[in-house]
Amino acid sequence: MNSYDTSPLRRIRGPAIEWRDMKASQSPAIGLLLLLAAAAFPQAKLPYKSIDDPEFIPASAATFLSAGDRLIGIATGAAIKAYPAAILAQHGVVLDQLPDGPIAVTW
Amino acid sequence: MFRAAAQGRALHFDTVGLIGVNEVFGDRETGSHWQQSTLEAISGPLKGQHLQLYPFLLTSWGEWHSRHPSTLVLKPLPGYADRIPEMNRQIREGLSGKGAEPDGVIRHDDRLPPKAMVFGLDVNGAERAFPRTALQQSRVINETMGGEPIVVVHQPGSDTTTAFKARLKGQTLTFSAANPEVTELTDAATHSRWDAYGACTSGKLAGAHLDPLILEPEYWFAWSEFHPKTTIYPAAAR
Repeated sequence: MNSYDTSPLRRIRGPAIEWRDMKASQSPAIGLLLLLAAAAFPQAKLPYKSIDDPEFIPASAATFLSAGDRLIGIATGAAIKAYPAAILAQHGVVLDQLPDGPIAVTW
Repeated sequence: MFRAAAQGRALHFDTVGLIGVNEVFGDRETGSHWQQSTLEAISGPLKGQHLQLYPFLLTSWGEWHSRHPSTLVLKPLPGYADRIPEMNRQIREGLSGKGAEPDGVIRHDDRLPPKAMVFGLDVNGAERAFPRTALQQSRVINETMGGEPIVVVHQPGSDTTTAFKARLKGQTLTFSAANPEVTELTDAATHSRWDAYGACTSGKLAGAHLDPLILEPEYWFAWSEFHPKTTIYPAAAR
């Protein structure tokens, strides 16, 4: 779960790979058009940074999760929490407070 | 997943970079840097200190939700929520075991393919990697590590792996799957029934719990880089 080279540090470069793929498969003119379009509408960059004050929702509100989606779960004493991998992978670290002390959830 | 504290002091971590394609965290309190795979401080005032793993489970939402209907779920921040489907696709791809070793790996170990998913386990200083593919074959593994009998349990349906000390009140227990999905196990000594989470559900030992061990899911290149003395399950194959 750590050390993925699909980790966000590398994932930020994702669009470059798509561009290379397009370049190979499209004519130069279409390729140039796509390049110009990409430059005109750059993908919004979300910072890859820790979550310091995580908020939680009940399972019934977690409609973005499907049965097969991966997560890290903790069930210690009073705290039962799920940290979806697809969120962790965008932040690297989630800092949380549990009844038995502070934890860092990492991906 | 680790306790965000060292020497009795709470610490806040940020990702500061990569060494050997493994993340390095910095703590805001002392500026020390910590290697993810070893949880050791590699520089700064806390150099040489270790963070403690915190018990966690890597599983699927379906499995977690049915076991813990009252679970809370981390709320995605605005913007990040839009990327969840794409992230899930990349995470699924990462499980394939295929792909070249990324640039920047500082120690190479070709006993397994670099992107093979393994579960690393440390018992009394003995380290072993359990490849996901081997777990899918064996499903229930009774081994001894660091002088301790252990059992590793893989449920293929939810792709969930758990591990425990296979000892109860001084008695070593040997487990086998009670169904192909390994949602239930039996022990050879008492034929009691157990779930995949170390709880005895019926039979002579009903109500007993095995002590859990913490598995560390990693790519092989990273586990082997930072745990060079690791053995690999199954021993006979290597």
